[in-house]
Amino acid sequence: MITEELVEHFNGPMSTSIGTCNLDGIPNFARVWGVQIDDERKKMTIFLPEVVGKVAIVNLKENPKIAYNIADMANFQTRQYKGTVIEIRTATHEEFEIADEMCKNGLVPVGEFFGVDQANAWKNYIKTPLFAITFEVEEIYNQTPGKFAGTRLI
Amino acid sequence: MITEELLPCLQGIVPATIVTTTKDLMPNASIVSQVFPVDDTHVAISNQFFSKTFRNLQENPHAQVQVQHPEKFIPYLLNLKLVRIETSGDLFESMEMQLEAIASMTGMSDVFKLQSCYVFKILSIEDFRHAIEWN
Repeated sequence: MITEELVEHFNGPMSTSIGTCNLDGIPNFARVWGVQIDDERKKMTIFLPEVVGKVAIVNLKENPKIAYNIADMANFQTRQYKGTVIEIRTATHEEFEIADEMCKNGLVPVGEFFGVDQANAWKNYIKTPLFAITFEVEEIYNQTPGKFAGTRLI
Repeated sequence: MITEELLPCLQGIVPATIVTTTKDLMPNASIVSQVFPVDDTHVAISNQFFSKTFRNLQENPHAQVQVQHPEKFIPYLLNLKLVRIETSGDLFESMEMQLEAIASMTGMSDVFKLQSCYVFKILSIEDFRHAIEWN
């Protein structure tokens, strides 16, 4: 489901977030870091720091639907993956390294766009304790600004 | 409710992200160009592409938006409820002007065209400075 072209999109300096909602339809935003794709390219695992993710975890336990937004800070290419969460657990040390790597990849564009202090803040986002959230991808959308924004890719 | 501290977050310097949901509880997360201060208790969001975000808001008026302070980088979450949509008037023109400035800064002048302004009441604001370790 997740094509080679989509996988290549994960390699840039990325800003990533998730959307969840509770059973009353109240939405929640949370910043996440790092992504892993399973061998069959049907499932994604993303990493959510507890410090920003308490509401998202509660929401996902009552409503497992998730929207994952991934935007390339260098060229604004943006995709949204939607699906159903199948597992929430504590991230391993290796997974923390993946999350931290995504953070480090963003340092240069954040510094260039906004400044050194902002890059330092970006670097110092607290990432532990860290949850690993795995979801089955059901829909993929183009969200790059322009006339094709919102187009369903898969 | 919109404090002096929050105002710089609403200048369109750091892109914001909005989360909405369908009536059958599928969330949608999308980057928005502009979260514009209307008065002390309202903000407006620009609709350029008639996207899923704005279709969701017809079904469920609740939204949450993350904005970020452009200098301190402190994230804030705004809990919002849609109250009206404007397609002309002073607010529309002000947002159109700011959007043109944002488009020019980001090389999106040919892409961004304001279709409507979605005006939200701010229900509450959450300060997430504790998500960053300050040296």
